[in-house]
Amino acid sequence: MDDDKKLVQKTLDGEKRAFEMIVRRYQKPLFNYIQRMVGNRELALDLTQDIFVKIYSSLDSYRFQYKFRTWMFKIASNSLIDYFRKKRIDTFSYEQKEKRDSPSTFQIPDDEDSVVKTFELSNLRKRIEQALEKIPPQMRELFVWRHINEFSYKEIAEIKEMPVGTIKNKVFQAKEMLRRLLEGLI
Amino acid sequence: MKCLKADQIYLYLEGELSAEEASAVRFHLASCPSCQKAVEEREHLNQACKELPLGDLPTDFTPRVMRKIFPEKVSFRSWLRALAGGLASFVVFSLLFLFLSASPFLPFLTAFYRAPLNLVQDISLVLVKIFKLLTLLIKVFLQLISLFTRGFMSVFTLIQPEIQISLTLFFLIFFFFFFYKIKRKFLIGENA
Repeated sequence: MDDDKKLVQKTLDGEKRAFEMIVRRYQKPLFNYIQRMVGNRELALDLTQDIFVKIYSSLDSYRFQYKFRTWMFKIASNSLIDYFRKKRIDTFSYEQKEKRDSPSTFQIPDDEDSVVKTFELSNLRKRIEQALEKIPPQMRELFVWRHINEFSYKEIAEIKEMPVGTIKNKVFQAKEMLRRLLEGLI
Repeated sequence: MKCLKADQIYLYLEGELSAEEASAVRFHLASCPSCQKAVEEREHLNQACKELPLGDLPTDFTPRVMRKIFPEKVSFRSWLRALAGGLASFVVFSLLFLFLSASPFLPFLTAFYRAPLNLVQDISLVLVKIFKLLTLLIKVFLQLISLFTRGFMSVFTLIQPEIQISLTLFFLIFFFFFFYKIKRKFLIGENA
Protein backbone atom coordinates (compact mmCIF):
# COMPACT_ATOMS: atom_id res chain seq x y z
CA MET A 1 0.00 0.00 0.00
CA ASP A 2 1.53 3.35 -1.01
CA ASP A 3 1.76 6.39 1.23
CA ASP A 4 -1.42 8.05 -0.10
CA LYS A 5 -3.46 4.93 0.42
CA LYS A 6 -2.21 4.60 4.01
CA LEU A 7 -3.32 8.17 4.66
CA VAL A 8 -6.73 7.45 3.11
CA GLN A 9 -7.12 4.35 5.31
CA LYS A 10 -6.18 6.35 8.42
CA THR A 11 -8.68 9.08 7.46
CA LEU A 12 -11.38 6.45 7.05
CA ASP A 13 -10.45 5.15 10.51
CA GLY A 14 -11.19 8.62 11.89
CA GLU A 15 -7.76 10.28 11.98
CA LYS A 16 -8.29 13.91 11.02
CA ARG A 17 -4.55 14.51 10.93
CA ALA A 18 -4.16 12.01 8.07
CA PHE A 19 -6.54 13.99 5.87
CA GLU A 20 -4.71 17.18 6.78
CA MET A 21 -1.55 15.57 5.40
CA ILE A 22 -3.39 14.72 2.18
CA VAL A 23 -4.53 18.35 1.91
CA ARG A 24 -0.99 19.64 2.50
CA ARG A 25 0.41 17.24 -0.10
CA TYR A 26 -2.07 18.03 -2.87
CA GLN A 27 -3.27 21.58 -2.26
CA LYS A 28 -0.64 23.18 -4.48
CA PRO A 29 -1.01 20.92 -7.55
CA LEU A 30 -4.80 21.01 -7.27
CA PHE A 31 -4.88 24.79 -6.85
CA ASN A 32 -2.52 25.33 -9.80
CA TYR A 33 -4.68 23.12 -11.99
CA ILE A 34 -7.89 24.91 -10.97
CA GLN A 35 -6.39 28.38 -11.25
CA ARG A 36 -5.28 27.67 -14.83
CA MET A 37 -8.76 26.39 -15.61
CA VAL A 38 -10.78 29.27 -14.17
CA GLY A 39 -8.22 32.06 -14.57
CA ASN A 40 -9.03 33.74 -11.24
CA ARG A 41 -7.03 33.30 -8.02
CA GLU A 42 -9.80 33.95 -5.48
CA LEU A 43 -12.30 31.75 -7.30
CA ALA A 44 -9.64 29.04 -7.64
CA LEU A 45 -9.03 29.16 -3.86
CA ASP A 46 -12.75 28.74 -3.15
CA LEU A 47 -13.12 25.93 -5.66
CA THR A 48 -10.04 24.12 -4.32
CA GLN A 49 -11.53 24.23 -0.82
CA ASP A 50 -14.87 22.92 -2.07
CA ILE A 51 -13.16 20.14 -3.98
CA PHE A 52 -11.27 19.01 -0.86
CA VAL A 53 -14.59 18.90 0.99
CA LYS A 54 -16.02 16.82 -1.84
CA ILE A 55 -12.99 14.52 -1.80
CA TYR A 56 -13.36 14.01 1.95
CA SER A 57 -17.06 13.24 1.69
CA SER A 58 -16.47 10.80 -1.19
CA LEU A 59 -13.60 8.91 0.46
CA ASP A 60 -15.97 6.01 1.22
CA SER A 61 -16.37 5.39 -2.50
CA TYR A 62 -12.60 5.32 -3.19
CA ARG A 63 -11.44 1.91 -4.41
CA PHE A 64 -7.93 1.06 -3.26
CA GLN A 65 -6.93 -0.62 -6.54
CA TYR A 66 -6.84 2.84 -8.19
CA LYS A 67 -4.16 5.48 -7.76
CA PHE A 68 -5.39 8.05 -5.22
CA ARG A 69 -3.94 11.02 -7.14
CA THR A 70 -5.83 10.14 -10.35
CA TRP A 71 -9.06 9.50 -8.40
CA MET A 72 -8.70 12.89 -6.72
CA PHE A 73 -8.13 14.74 -9.98
CA LYS A 74 -11.08 12.95 -11.55
CA ILE A 75 -13.29 14.41 -8.80
CA ALA A 76 -11.72 17.84 -9.40
CA SER A 77 -12.28 17.58 -13.14
CA ASN A 78 -15.93 16.59 -12.71
CA SER A 79 -16.46 19.42 -10.24
CA LEU A 80 -15.04 21.88 -12.76
CA ILE A 81 -17.31 20.52 -15.49
CA ASP A 82 -20.28 21.10 -13.13
CA TYR A 83 -19.01 24.60 -12.40
CA PHE A 84 -18.61 25.45 -16.11
CA ARG A 85 -22.08 24.05 -16.82
CA LYS A 86 -23.64 26.18 -14.08
CA LYS A 87 -21.87 29.24 -15.47
CA ARG A 88 -22.86 28.14 -18.98
CA ILE A 89 -19.28 28.23 -20.17
CA ASP A 90 -18.63 26.27 -23.35
CA THR A 91 -17.20 22.87 -22.43
CA PHE A 92 -17.59 21.06 -25.74
CA SER A 93 -16.45 17.50 -25.97
CA TYR A 94 -13.22 16.33 -27.55
CA GLU A 95 -15.17 14.75 -30.41
CA GLN A 96 -16.76 18.08 -31.33
CA LYS A 97 -13.39 19.77 -31.12
CA GLU A 98 -11.88 17.23 -33.48
CA LYS A 99 -14.52 18.04 -36.08
CA ARG A 100 -13.71 21.73 -35.80
CA ASP A 101 -9.97 21.15 -36.17
CA SER A 102 -9.31 19.66 -39.53
CA PRO A 103 -6.64 16.89 -39.53
CA SER A 104 -4.52 19.02 -41.86
CA THR A 105 -3.72 21.40 -39.01
CA PHE A 106 -1.40 18.76 -37.62
CA GLN A 107 0.62 18.81 -40.81
CA ILE A 108 3.54 21.24 -40.71
CA PRO A 109 3.36 23.79 -43.54
CA ASP A 110 6.47 24.20 -45.71
CA ASP A 111 6.75 27.92 -44.95
CA GLU A 112 6.22 27.58 -41.17
CA ASP A 113 7.44 30.66 -39.30
CA SER A 114 9.88 30.16 -36.46
CA VAL A 115 7.73 31.95 -33.91
CA VAL A 116 8.58 30.27 -30.65
CA LYS A 117 12.36 30.47 -31.10
CA THR A 118 12.20 34.26 -31.30
CA PHE A 119 11.35 34.39 -27.57
CA GLU A 120 13.69 33.93 -24.63
CA LEU A 121 12.55 31.08 -22.36
CA SER A 122 11.26 33.31 -19.52
CA ASN A 123 9.44 35.57 -21.94
CA LEU A 124 8.04 32.55 -23.76
CA ARG A 125 6.67 31.14 -20.47
CA LYS A 126 4.77 34.35 -19.79
CA ARG A 127 3.32 34.25 -23.29
CA ILE A 128 2.36 30.59 -22.93
CA GLU A 129 0.39 31.53 -19.77
CA GLN A 130 -1.47 34.20 -21.75
CA ALA A 131 -2.13 31.90 -24.69
CA LEU A 132 -3.23 29.09 -22.36
CA GLU A 133 -6.27 31.12 -21.32
CA LYS A 134 -7.40 31.18 -24.93
CA ILE A 135 -7.44 27.47 -25.67
CA PRO A 136 -10.63 25.46 -25.00
CA PRO A 137 -10.96 24.21 -21.38
CA GLN A 138 -10.82 20.52 -22.30
CA MET A 139 -7.54 20.96 -24.19
CA ARG A 140 -6.16 23.28 -21.49
CA GLU A 141 -6.95 20.69 -18.83
CA LEU A 142 -4.84 18.04 -20.55
CA PHE A 143 -1.98 20.49 -21.11
CA VAL A 144 -2.03 21.56 -17.44
CA TRP A 145 -2.03 17.97 -16.19
CA ARG A 146 0.89 17.09 -18.44
CA HIS A 147 3.09 20.16 -17.99
CA ILE A 148 2.10 21.74 -14.68
CA ASN A 149 1.02 18.74 -12.65
CA GLU A 150 3.55 16.56 -14.48
CA PHE A 151 1.24 13.59 -14.89
CA SER A 152 2.26 10.75 -17.16
CA TYR A 153 0.11 10.12 -20.23
CA LYS A 154 -1.06 6.91 -18.57
CA GLU A 155 -2.29 8.79 -15.50
CA ILE A 156 -4.16 11.32 -17.66
CA ALA A 157 -5.68 8.45 -19.63
CA GLU A 158 -6.88 6.90 -16.35
CA ILE A 159 -8.48 10.15 -15.20
CA LYS A 160 -10.20 10.75 -18.52
CA GLU A 161 -10.93 7.07 -19.17
CA MET A 162 -9.50 7.34 -22.69
CA PRO A 163 -6.78 5.43 -24.57
CA VAL A 164 -3.22 6.66 -23.95
CA GLY A 165 -2.72 7.30 -27.67
CA THR A 166 -5.74 9.58 -27.82
CA ILE A 167 -4.49 11.54 -24.82
CA LYS A 168 -1.04 12.00 -26.36
CA ASN A 169 -2.63 13.22 -29.55
CA LYS A 170 -4.79 15.72 -27.63
CA VAL A 171 -1.82 17.07 -25.67
CA PHE A 172 0.14 17.55 -28.91
CA GLN A 173 -2.90 19.27 -30.41
CA ALA A 174 -3.06 21.59 -27.42
CA LYS A 175 0.62 22.45 -27.89
CA GLU A 176 0.14 23.15 -31.57
CA MET A 177 -2.84 25.33 -30.70
CA LEU A 178 -0.64 27.23 -28.23
CA ARG A 179 2.09 27.59 -30.84
CA ARG A 180 -0.37 29.09 -33.30
CA LEU A 181 -1.71 31.45 -30.65
CA LEU A 182 1.86 32.59 -29.87
CA GLU A 183 2.14 33.75 -33.48
CA GLY A 184 -0.67 36.17 -32.74
CA LEU A 185 1.05 37.46 -29.60
CA ILE A 186 4.12 38.84 -31.40
CA MET B 1 10.66 9.43 -45.77
CA LYS B 2 8.06 12.17 -46.09
CA CYS B 3 8.32 15.39 -44.07
CA LEU B 4 7.40 15.03 -40.40
CA LYS B 5 4.01 15.76 -38.89
CA ALA B 6 3.70 17.70 -35.64
CA ASP B 7 2.64 14.65 -33.61
CA GLN B 8 5.63 12.67 -34.95
CA ILE B 9 7.93 15.48 -33.84
CA TYR B 10 6.43 15.53 -30.33
CA LEU B 11 6.68 11.74 -30.03
CA TYR B 12 10.29 11.94 -31.20
CA LEU B 13 11.15 14.70 -28.72
CA GLU B 14 9.52 12.85 -25.83
CA GLY B 15 11.33 9.62 -26.70
CA GLU B 16 8.07 7.83 -27.43
CA LEU B 17 9.08 6.44 -30.82
CA SER B 18 10.57 2.98 -31.31
CA ALA B 19 14.32 2.82 -31.99
CA GLU B 20 13.64 2.09 -35.66
CA GLU B 21 11.19 5.00 -36.05
CA ALA B 22 13.54 7.37 -34.20
CA SER B 23 16.50 6.52 -36.45
CA ALA B 24 14.29 7.07 -39.54
CA VAL B 25 13.37 10.50 -38.17
CA ARG B 26 17.03 11.33 -37.49
CA PHE B 27 17.96 10.23 -41.01
CA HIS B 28 15.26 12.48 -42.48
CA LEU B 29 16.23 15.44 -40.29
CA ALA B 30 19.82 15.28 -41.54
CA SER B 31 18.65 16.16 -45.03
CA CYS B 32 15.56 18.35 -44.42
CA PRO B 33 16.19 21.90 -43.12
CA SER B 34 12.46 22.77 -42.81
CA CYS B 35 11.81 19.72 -40.58
CA GLN B 36 14.96 20.57 -38.61
CA LYS B 37 13.54 24.04 -38.01
CA ALA B 38 10.17 22.58 -36.99
CA VAL B 39 11.84 20.22 -34.49
CA GLU B 40 13.97 23.02 -32.98
CA GLU B 41 10.86 25.16 -32.67
CA ARG B 42 8.94 22.49 -30.79
CA GLU B 43 11.92 21.55 -28.65
CA HIS B 44 12.12 25.16 -27.50
CA LEU B 45 8.36 25.15 -26.78
CA ASN B 46 8.66 21.86 -24.86
CA GLN B 47 11.48 23.28 -22.76
CA ALA B 48 9.41 26.36 -21.88
CA CYS B 49 6.40 24.20 -21.00
CA LYS B 50 8.47 22.13 -18.56
CA GLU B 51 9.05 24.91 -16.06
CA LEU B 52 5.88 26.97 -15.99
CA PRO B 53 5.64 28.91 -12.70
CA LEU B 54 3.49 27.52 -9.88
CA GLY B 55 1.13 29.81 -7.95
CA ASP B 56 1.50 29.92 -4.14
CA LEU B 57 -1.30 29.43 -1.64
CA PRO B 58 -2.05 31.58 1.43
CA THR B 59 -0.27 30.23 4.52
CA ASP B 60 -3.58 29.55 6.32
CA PHE B 61 -5.07 27.58 3.44
CA THR B 62 -4.78 24.11 5.05
CA PRO B 63 -6.40 25.17 8.37
CA ARG B 64 -9.17 26.85 6.35
CA VAL B 65 -9.90 23.63 4.48
CA MET B 66 -9.79 21.60 7.70
CA ARG B 67 -12.18 24.01 9.44
CA LYS B 68 -14.57 23.71 6.51
CA ILE B 69 -14.52 19.92 6.75
CA PHE B 70 -14.50 19.69 10.54
CA PRO B 71 -16.25 22.80 11.87
CA GLU B 72 -15.24 23.55 15.45
CA LYS B 73 -18.00 22.92 17.98
CA VAL B 74 -18.37 25.50 20.77
CA SER B 75 -18.81 23.75 24.13
CA PHE B 76 -21.52 24.68 26.65
CA ARG B 77 -18.82 25.80 29.07
CA SER B 78 -17.46 28.25 26.48
CA TRP B 79 -20.95 29.68 25.95
CA LEU B 80 -21.33 30.15 29.71
CA ARG B 81 -17.92 31.79 29.92
CA ALA B 82 -18.82 34.21 27.10
CA LEU B 83 -22.13 35.04 28.78
CA ALA B 84 -20.45 35.70 32.14
CA GLY B 85 -17.82 37.84 30.41
CA GLY B 86 -20.48 39.87 28.62
CA LEU B 87 -22.43 40.42 31.85
CA ALA B 88 -19.32 41.41 33.79
CA SER B 89 -18.25 43.93 31.16
CA PHE B 90 -21.80 45.39 31.13
CA VAL B 91 -21.67 45.90 34.90
CA VAL B 92 -18.19 47.42 34.74
CA PHE B 93 -19.14 49.85 31.95
CA SER B 94 -22.38 50.86 33.73
CA LEU B 95 -20.50 51.60 36.92
CA LEU B 96 -17.86 53.51 34.99
CA PHE B 97 -20.56 55.53 33.23
CA LEU B 98 -22.28 56.35 36.53
CA PHE B 99 -19.01 57.32 38.10
CA LEU B 100 -17.91 59.54 35.21
CA SER B 101 -21.30 61.20 34.64
CA ALA B 102 -21.79 61.66 38.41
CA SER B 103 -25.40 60.40 38.14
CA PRO B 104 -27.20 59.19 41.29
CA PHE B 105 -26.89 55.46 41.69
CA LEU B 106 -30.34 54.58 43.17
CA PRO B 107 -32.61 55.84 40.31
CA PHE B 108 -30.41 53.98 37.83
CA LEU B 109 -30.76 50.73 39.79
CA THR B 110 -34.56 51.18 40.08
CA ALA B 111 -34.89 51.78 36.33
CA PHE B 112 -32.68 48.75 35.62
CA TYR B 113 -34.84 46.62 37.98
CA ARG B 114 -38.15 47.85 36.51
CA ALA B 115 -37.25 47.41 32.81
CA PRO B 116 -37.88 43.62 32.63
CA LEU B 117 -41.12 43.99 34.66
CA ASN B 118 -42.40 46.61 32.23
CA LEU B 119 -41.56 44.35 29.32
CA VAL B 120 -43.52 41.43 30.83
CA GLN B 121 -46.47 43.72 31.52
CA ASP B 122 -46.55 44.98 27.90
CA ILE B 123 -46.29 41.50 26.43
CA SER B 124 -49.18 40.24 28.64
CA LEU B 125 -51.40 43.10 27.47
CA VAL B 126 -50.74 42.26 23.82
CA LEU B 127 -51.46 38.56 24.47
CA VAL B 128 -54.81 39.35 26.14
CA LYS B 129 -55.84 41.49 23.16
CA ILE B 130 -54.89 38.74 20.70
CA PHE B 131 -56.94 36.22 22.74
CA LYS B 132 -60.02 38.47 22.69
CA LEU B 133 -59.74 38.98 18.93
CA LEU B 134 -59.45 35.23 18.32
CA THR B 135 -62.60 34.38 20.39
CA LEU B 136 -64.55 37.01 18.44
CA LEU B 137 -63.38 35.54 15.12
CA ILE B 138 -64.41 32.02 16.21
CA LYS B 139 -67.88 33.23 17.21
CA VAL B 140 -68.40 34.90 13.80
CA PHE B 141 -67.17 31.78 12.00
CA LEU B 142 -69.56 29.49 13.96
CA GLN B 143 -72.54 31.74 13.21
CA LEU B 144 -71.68 31.71 9.50
CA ILE B 145 -71.53 27.90 9.49
CA SER B 146 -74.93 27.55 11.24
CA LEU B 147 -76.49 29.98 8.74
CA PHE B 148 -75.01 28.03 5.82
CA THR B 149 -76.21 24.61 7.11
CA ARG B 150 -79.75 25.92 7.80
CA GLY B 151 -79.97 27.36 4.28
CA PHE B 152 -78.55 24.19 2.75
CA MET B 153 -81.01 21.92 4.63
CA SER B 154 -84.04 23.99 3.61
CA VAL B 155 -82.98 23.75 -0.08
CA PHE B 156 -82.09 20.06 0.26
CA THR B 157 -85.61 19.06 1.53
CA LEU B 158 -87.15 20.46 -1.67
CA ILE B 159 -85.14 18.00 -3.87
CA GLN B 160 -86.23 14.41 -4.71
CA PRO B 161 -84.57 11.61 -2.58
CA GLU B 162 -82.72 10.02 -5.66
CA ILE B 163 -81.17 13.38 -6.49
CA GLN B 164 -80.36 13.90 -2.78
CA ILE B 165 -78.39 10.60 -2.71
CA SER B 166 -76.48 11.35 -5.95
CA LEU B 167 -75.69 14.90 -4.77
CA THR B 168 -74.40 13.57 -1.43
CA LEU B 169 -72.20 11.02 -3.24
CA PHE B 170 -70.90 13.70 -5.60
CA PHE B 171 -69.91 15.98 -2.70
CA LEU B 172 -68.31 13.10 -0.80
CA ILE B 173 -66.14 12.20 -3.83
CA PHE B 174 -65.33 15.87 -4.44
CA PHE B 175 -64.19 16.42 -0.86
CA PHE B 176 -62.15 13.21 -0.87
CA PHE B 177 -60.15 14.31 -3.96
CA PHE B 178 -59.90 17.87 -2.68
CA PHE B 179 -58.25 16.79 0.57
CA TYR B 180 -56.12 14.15 -1.18
CA LYS B 181 -54.70 16.82 -3.51
CA ILE B 182 -54.02 19.19 -0.63
CA LYS B 183 -52.21 16.41 1.23
CA ARG B 184 -50.08 15.68 -1.86
CA LYS B 185 -49.18 19.36 -2.19
CA PHE B 186 -47.92 19.46 1.35
CA LEU B 187 -45.92 16.29 0.90
CA ILE B 188 -44.08 17.36 -2.27
CA GLY B 189 -40.34 17.26 -1.65
CA GLU B 190 -40.63 14.77 1.18
CA ASN B 191 -42.16 11.37 0.55
CA ALA B 192 -44.72 12.09 -2.17
